[in-house]
Amino acid sequence: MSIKGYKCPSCGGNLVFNSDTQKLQCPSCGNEIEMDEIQKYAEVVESADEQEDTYEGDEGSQESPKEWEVKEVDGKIIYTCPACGGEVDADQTTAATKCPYCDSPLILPGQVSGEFRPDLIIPFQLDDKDAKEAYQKFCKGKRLLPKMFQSDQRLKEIKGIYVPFWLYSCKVEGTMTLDAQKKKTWSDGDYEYTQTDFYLLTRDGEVYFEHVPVDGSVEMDDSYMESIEPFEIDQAVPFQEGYLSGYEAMKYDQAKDECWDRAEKRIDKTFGGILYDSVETYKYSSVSSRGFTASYSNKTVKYALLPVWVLNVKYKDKMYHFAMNGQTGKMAGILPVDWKLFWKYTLGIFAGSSLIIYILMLIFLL
Amino acid sequence: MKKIRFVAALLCLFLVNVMPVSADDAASPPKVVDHANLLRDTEEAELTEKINSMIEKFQIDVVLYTESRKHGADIQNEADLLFDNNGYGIGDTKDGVLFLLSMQEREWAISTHGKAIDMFSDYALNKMGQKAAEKYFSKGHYSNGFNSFLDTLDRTADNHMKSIEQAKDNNAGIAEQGTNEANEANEANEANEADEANGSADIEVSEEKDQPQDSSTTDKVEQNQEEQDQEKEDEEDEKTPVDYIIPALICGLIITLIIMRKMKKKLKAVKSQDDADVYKSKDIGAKIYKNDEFLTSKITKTRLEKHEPKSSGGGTTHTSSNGEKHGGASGKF
Repeated sequence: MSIKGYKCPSCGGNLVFNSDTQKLQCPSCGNEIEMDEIQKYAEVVESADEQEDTYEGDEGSQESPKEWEVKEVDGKIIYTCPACGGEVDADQTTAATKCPYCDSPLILPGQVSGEFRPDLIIPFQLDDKDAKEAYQKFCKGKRLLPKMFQSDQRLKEIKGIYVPFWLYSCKVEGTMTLDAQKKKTWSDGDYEYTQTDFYLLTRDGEVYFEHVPVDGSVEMDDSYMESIEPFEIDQAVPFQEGYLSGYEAMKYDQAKDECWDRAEKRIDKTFGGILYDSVETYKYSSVSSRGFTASYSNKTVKYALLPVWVLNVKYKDKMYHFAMNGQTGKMAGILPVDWKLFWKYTLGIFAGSSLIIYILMLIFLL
Repeated sequence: MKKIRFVAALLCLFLVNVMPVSADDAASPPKVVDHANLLRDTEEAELTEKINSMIEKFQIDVVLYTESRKHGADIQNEADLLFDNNGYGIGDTKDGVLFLLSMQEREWAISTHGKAIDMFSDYALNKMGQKAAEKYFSKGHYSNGFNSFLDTLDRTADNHMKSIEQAKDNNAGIAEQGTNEANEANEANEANEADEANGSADIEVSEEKDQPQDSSTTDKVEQNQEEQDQEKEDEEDEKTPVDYIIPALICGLIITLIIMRKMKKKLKAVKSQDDADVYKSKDIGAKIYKNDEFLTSKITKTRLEKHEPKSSGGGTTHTSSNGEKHGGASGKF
């Protein structure tokens, strides 16, 4: 498996993607390089390396740059960091990661090429500091949250991950039929008359949907990924490996056909709602749906890597997971409840509100 | 001749003085009979005093009767028999009202007799009984319940008397008008013509007399009575601070549940999306084609339930097992 790491042309340090400048940056010398430039630079270096390999008999005459070593132990692929010798686990879906000891970036181009090459990528717009801030803000004002939960020591892990998503676009055409009734009542003194008029309502429509996202990774929790939607897809750029440097990335392990059902359900719900909302319900005394059909055409699917910050917080031997949209900062997660505080508040509010209401009753009703 | 006139005057005076006293006669049966021991002595005395003043005012007997055991299958019949067999009622027609409260099956019944049948409509009796039963007896407030019954009875009887007097005045006015017209005709025409005019006036008067009491007046009287009842109820509804404790606790509990639920919900920010609203194309709008087709029409008719007319001419009657004619109402609490 080929391995890639972008090196600084000035000092040879590992370049990582900087979300603030949207450029690759060398942490050692601070050198910043545009994404297009580093791509060209990398291509030249790669071709020069290939040419060097064709020389014979000069092996070992020049000091070759240190590379990641790969070995397989018990079916697991383990990469050894060339900088610190640390070992990095990578599973079948890992497309990029970094050394947990020295942060040296590791990109596996084989995982993002061919059928696994993403069409689009939304580069990280927010960094780990933003993620921490968003997490602190998310915890603020939660009265039932245990006080100790917010301490920094609880935050065990924070990592930026490019999560694989399928983006579905299509045209939906369909028909909804509805039964409707109008009722009119009058009386002549002895009898009450009710006239019921029956109607058959038909609504035909067509609606275009663009880039409905469905997470293509089994590992990522779908409800978390849907909670941090929407992503601003119009800010997505064509995929380049350089964006992965310094972050983790995954390749999809759920095919686009498998994920379509989820997108279809969401599209159907919205389309059905549009058709139903077009009925002037105020004209009728009752309206009920009889049936609904939808067909899809002009379907296109794009494979995209979208930025997600994942935060893992340990509290009382339990891990709490949070996800943040790496583009918009929207946070998702479930915070624990401090049950002592819960009952304290319950009793306090109950006593307080009952007393206030009692006093108000005495003032205004007695 | 003078002696005869003097004796007649004395007789008249005697009758005038004796009549009211006969209602309060010590030999007459007690007006408050509390076999079920629901009332204190002081309460019984108060109720008796109130009843005596009503007897004087309306010349009808009023009896409150409680029992812990029922003596017959039909509570209405039992109330009728209690009235018939215990010598209640004033005058030859034995005018009176008896309110029976039976604790065995928690039932009540009102029995009316004589002119009381005409004084109180079924609607009024039912309302009096239900109000006392539901509002007071069901909560164990027996004295208040009887007081409420007597107050409503008093107002209803009073209104009845007033409406009768008003009807009499109206009739008298019409009769007077008719006579005046006849006199004018007498002056203007010859003796024969005057006779004819008199004849026509008589016909007009008799027509007016045959007409039933003015229904709008009766309605107004009943409406006023209901309003007064409502006011009285509001006054009686006065509550003590203790009565507000449970409602305040319930409100507090509801508020607490709402607030705590909101606070707990804030801790969870994970929600699956079930629609794709935000992914509708912004460039190409939705196209909708509408078609509303009329299919058929159906008309159904339902007979309207008619409310019993509010009549001031008294309620319906039945015959007790003694063969006496009674009016009345009954119910449970």
